[in-house]
Amino acid sequence: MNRPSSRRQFLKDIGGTAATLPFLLNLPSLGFANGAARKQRLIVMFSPNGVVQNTFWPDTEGKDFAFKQSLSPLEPYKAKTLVLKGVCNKIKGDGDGHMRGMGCLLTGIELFPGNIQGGSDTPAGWSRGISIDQEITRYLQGHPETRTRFGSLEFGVQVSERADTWTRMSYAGPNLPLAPISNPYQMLQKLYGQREDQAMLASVLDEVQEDFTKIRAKVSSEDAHLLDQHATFVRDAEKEMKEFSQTKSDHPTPKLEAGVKNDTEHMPKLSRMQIDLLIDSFQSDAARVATLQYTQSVGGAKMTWLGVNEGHHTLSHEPDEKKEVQEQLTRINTWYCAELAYLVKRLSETKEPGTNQTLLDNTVVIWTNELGKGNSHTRDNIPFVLVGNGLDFTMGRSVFYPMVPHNRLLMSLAHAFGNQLTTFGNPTFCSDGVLNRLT
Amino acid sequence: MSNHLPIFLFGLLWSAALVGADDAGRKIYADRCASCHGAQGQGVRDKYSDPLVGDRSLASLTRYISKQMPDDKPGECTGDDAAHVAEFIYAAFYSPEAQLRSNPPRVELARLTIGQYRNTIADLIGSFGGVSKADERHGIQAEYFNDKRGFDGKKRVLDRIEPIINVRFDDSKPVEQMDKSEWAIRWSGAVTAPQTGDYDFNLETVNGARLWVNDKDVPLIDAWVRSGDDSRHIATIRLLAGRTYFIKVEAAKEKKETVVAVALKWKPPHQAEQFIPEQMLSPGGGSQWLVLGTPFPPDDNILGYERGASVSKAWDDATTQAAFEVAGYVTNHLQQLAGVRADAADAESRKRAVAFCRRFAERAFRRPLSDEVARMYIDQHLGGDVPILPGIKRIVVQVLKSPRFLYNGLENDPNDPYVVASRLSYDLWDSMPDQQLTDAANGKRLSTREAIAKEVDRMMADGRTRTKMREFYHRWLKLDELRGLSKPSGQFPGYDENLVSDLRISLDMFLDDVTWSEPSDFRQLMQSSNLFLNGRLAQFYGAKLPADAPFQSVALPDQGRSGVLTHPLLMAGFAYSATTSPIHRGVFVSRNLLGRRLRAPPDSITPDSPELNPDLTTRERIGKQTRKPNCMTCHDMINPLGFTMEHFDAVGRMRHDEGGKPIDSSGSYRRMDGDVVQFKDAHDLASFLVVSTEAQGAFVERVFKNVVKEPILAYGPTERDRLLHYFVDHAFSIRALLAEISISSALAPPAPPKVAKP
Repeated sequence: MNRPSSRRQFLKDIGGTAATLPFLLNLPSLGFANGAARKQRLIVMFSPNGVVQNTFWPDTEGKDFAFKQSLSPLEPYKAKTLVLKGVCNKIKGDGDGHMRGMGCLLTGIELFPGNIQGGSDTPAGWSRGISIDQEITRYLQGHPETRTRFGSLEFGVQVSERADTWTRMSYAGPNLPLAPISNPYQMLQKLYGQREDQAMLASVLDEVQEDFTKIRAKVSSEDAHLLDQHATFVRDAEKEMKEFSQTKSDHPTPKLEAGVKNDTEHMPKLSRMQIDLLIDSFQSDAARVATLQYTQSVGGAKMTWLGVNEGHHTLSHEPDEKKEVQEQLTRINTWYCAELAYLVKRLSETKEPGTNQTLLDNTVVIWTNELGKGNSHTRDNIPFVLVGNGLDFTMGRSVFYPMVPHNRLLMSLAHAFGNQLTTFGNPTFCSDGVLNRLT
Repeated sequence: MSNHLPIFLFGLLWSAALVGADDAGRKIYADRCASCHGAQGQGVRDKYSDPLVGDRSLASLTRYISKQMPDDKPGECTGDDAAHVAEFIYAAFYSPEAQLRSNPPRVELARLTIGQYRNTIADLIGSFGGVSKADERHGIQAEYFNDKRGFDGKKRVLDRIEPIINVRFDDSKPVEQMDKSEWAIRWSGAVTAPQTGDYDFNLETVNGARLWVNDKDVPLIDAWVRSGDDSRHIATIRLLAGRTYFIKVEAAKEKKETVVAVALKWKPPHQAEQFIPEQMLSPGGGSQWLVLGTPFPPDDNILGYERGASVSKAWDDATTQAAFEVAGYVTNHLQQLAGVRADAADAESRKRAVAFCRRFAERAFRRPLSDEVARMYIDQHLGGDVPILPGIKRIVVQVLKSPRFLYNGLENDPNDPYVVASRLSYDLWDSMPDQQLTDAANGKRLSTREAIAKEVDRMMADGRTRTKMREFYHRWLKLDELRGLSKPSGQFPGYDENLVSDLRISLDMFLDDVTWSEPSDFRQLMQSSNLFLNGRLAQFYGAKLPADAPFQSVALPDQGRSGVLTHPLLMAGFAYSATTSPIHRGVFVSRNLLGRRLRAPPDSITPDSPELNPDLTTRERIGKQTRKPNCMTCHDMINPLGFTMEHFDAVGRMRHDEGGKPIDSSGSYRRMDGDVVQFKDAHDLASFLVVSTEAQGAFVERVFKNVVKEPILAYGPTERDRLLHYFVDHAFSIRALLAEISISSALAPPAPPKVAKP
């Protein structure tokens, strides 16, 4: 389980080899060491509580579809967008709709029985399996040419501090939920904290050496021998540190606006900060997989900046007939779509280092949700909106499926990375193989 | 350090005096011995490479030479020849005095050992808060709440102290007032770690629960979401011995759950998993310590105690990692430690930050800061508009990378009270001085023996002194090297991991009891006929206790037990899987109890399997295998000591026969002065050990080395004898010895060793 203590995290980062390796070697390389092969990437973006079906889905299939209001921010990227309707989360078992919607969304497998009680359903625990983002990460990290410092990064925006089935969609394995990092400053620290440490250490060692000279004068010549030996190690470490800093990439440490509060009111700003860091982490090749989770299933953000003064989840329970509520919900989803569009815009503007391409050419963003529709809690017609050319799917289309299990889509994602899974999650839902009509 | 110089001069003078020594012996040595042993007895590679040094008496050396030397033609150097050459060898390089002369020990500059480093960091951070006063009560506070997965104080229906964390309610309620289908329990208090190392905590529950240890914010185990059937939740945390840590468990019953079952177990280093015992829990007083996780390369332990006499790249690198680990902890707990918010930038916060850093550096360097040091380490990094948080982080790293923190003994002015304070605290605690000791140094109150004795008296009562003594005992009794402890399962029904774990507790309780009870009598360590037993041990070792009896001291007058000498943990550890090992036992007595030197066996020899000669007893088999003369040079000492413990089998149980043959536990020992002492059994041997100046002196020297971490000879050639007399005069009080060692080593910086002429 992810434990946010940064001291423990530090130890985790430096790993078990610490005793034998110089400090330097445990520090991250920010270079682009992974060669010239294409860098395929995946981003899973999550927003909660379902969508308003008739303002979301295009009316027609094929190339000549039109975006409805909820998807309108994607207009500039229509040629790079693939809208998949009729993909369903068919996982049954313990847990309420939101819990299974969240916990089975990327895992495609049932939840364990447990003590998390939602509504009148049977209580449940964590998911029984690994999630697809982590499965792909595992695959990429298993090959030297695709291995990156972190493999995957889990970004959050206003995710609750609560750790339970409603708040976690990424799993490193059965019963191993991963906590997203909602605080951009914490994410910056994770990405660049140790680089600052390197610079500081070089300067510390410089001053410590100066002090060695002063102290040496106080001790006998026999004892000075020990200090001299010690000083040599300090000098060597400083030298290595300086040499290293000359060879490392010129990728600058990104700057964040200071003092942004981590609260709902600042959600628009936090969202942009996290997206910018995500882009930066791809640019520096710190990871090839990322999740970007807005709130959590049942998320109740009050989006006052949209003129919506009721919590999102409460609104999502209102019946279809309440037009003004459906309009508010559409506004909420349009806002999420605009954040997606910003992410895509940044990807499309950012050069793939060392090539003439952009990050968007090698990345796919999938925007999804724990439900199809909020007031029915259905997991049919879950939004799966893909943007970007990273997986070589045929983009610029709208495709309607006959209520196919989402496990098949999850498998397709793995296949697109070269990970030829024959099943993923519950095998019952995988018998028809990868999802057709993606290419 | 300047005091090595006179020693050196003295050594030269003495060497000159040697010239006129026994010429006959010198000539024999040069003609007949030097080709294998080297002109100065230093050894010759591919011939006899070990230096000619040892602790035999002159008589014994003479006897040995006439019997065994030269190696290729024994019997060619006897009578006067043997006596002359022995005299020469003894005086020139063999005897302890000669060794001292040729390699005069001195008090060396030493860096902190790993243990000292870890303790110092814990106490340094602890000195800024987070440390609570220990609660003397045992057990743990338990609170029951009529609350839904919550702990609202108004809904608390029961509050009591429970001995351990282990409850089970099947379709039942802990108390009548508990009427809801959802309720919660919280246990809180402190847990004491008996030794340093990694502890596996196992939170066993069929419900949702979580555990905090040594961290009030981040749970060690978060199983608040129950998921699946796995009821064991295990996590590992490193703890330092003798310290008391904050601990809390929360558990909740959910509506559809019918059973509530929560138990907290742990697996301390070298022990089996068990409920955290009542004596290790207290209902309050838990502290939050910084326990470093950074791994360090092991210290030099070649002299029988950890020394910081050498540095390596790996060690330097570990100090860097550790510095960053501490800096990370400090910046994460800035409010608590320094009263400064992490994002603060105002002038008042800057002032507080500077004050914190100065105190931090002062405590880390264990002396007040000169203006120059303060400027270099602190002021320039927090001045002007330097951001506060990175400034503090940098200062912490720099302070911890400084030799001023990493070494003891940079200052050697005997009148410097801070030197005295550091010596005392590292002698007794392996850690930095506490506030009271620092205050005494500030007030220049550490210049007299009386003042120091008063501090020592206070410091002896601290848990860290107990911890240090325990670590000494573990090293002395080789408890981490007892390879014989694991036996094939089924070999001795009832002897298993749990029993061994209990034996370790039993021995520790015995050592603590002897050391910290009023007489604190060394003789009790050797001669006590009592064993600490619980129900399980009692059943196995033939004592009458109820099966669930807690540990207690049990008199076993009929078993011939003699303190540590026959403690079942050592008997089982110095044994093979099925048979005893008189050799291991004898080596232990020779080296560790009598302080004798033994060379490693010339060849690595596999002991004969008992099946080869099923008619022989262990004693007979070993006698047969080691009867060759070149074995007997050492085994004539080892075997007859080891045989005295033959009444205790391979798991330390009393026995009267071996395969139908009665046990012969007779033995003997040739003292350094050449006289031979006879024993009829281990009890007899123990009676000898407590009156033997060899064993008493060996104990004194071992305690000294472990406390001071320097060779005793560096404190003068008479220091060992002086302390031995002190020990005898104070009725063999271990505590009095410990106090005297720390007082005298703190008070009197080592005098140049004076070498007596032979």
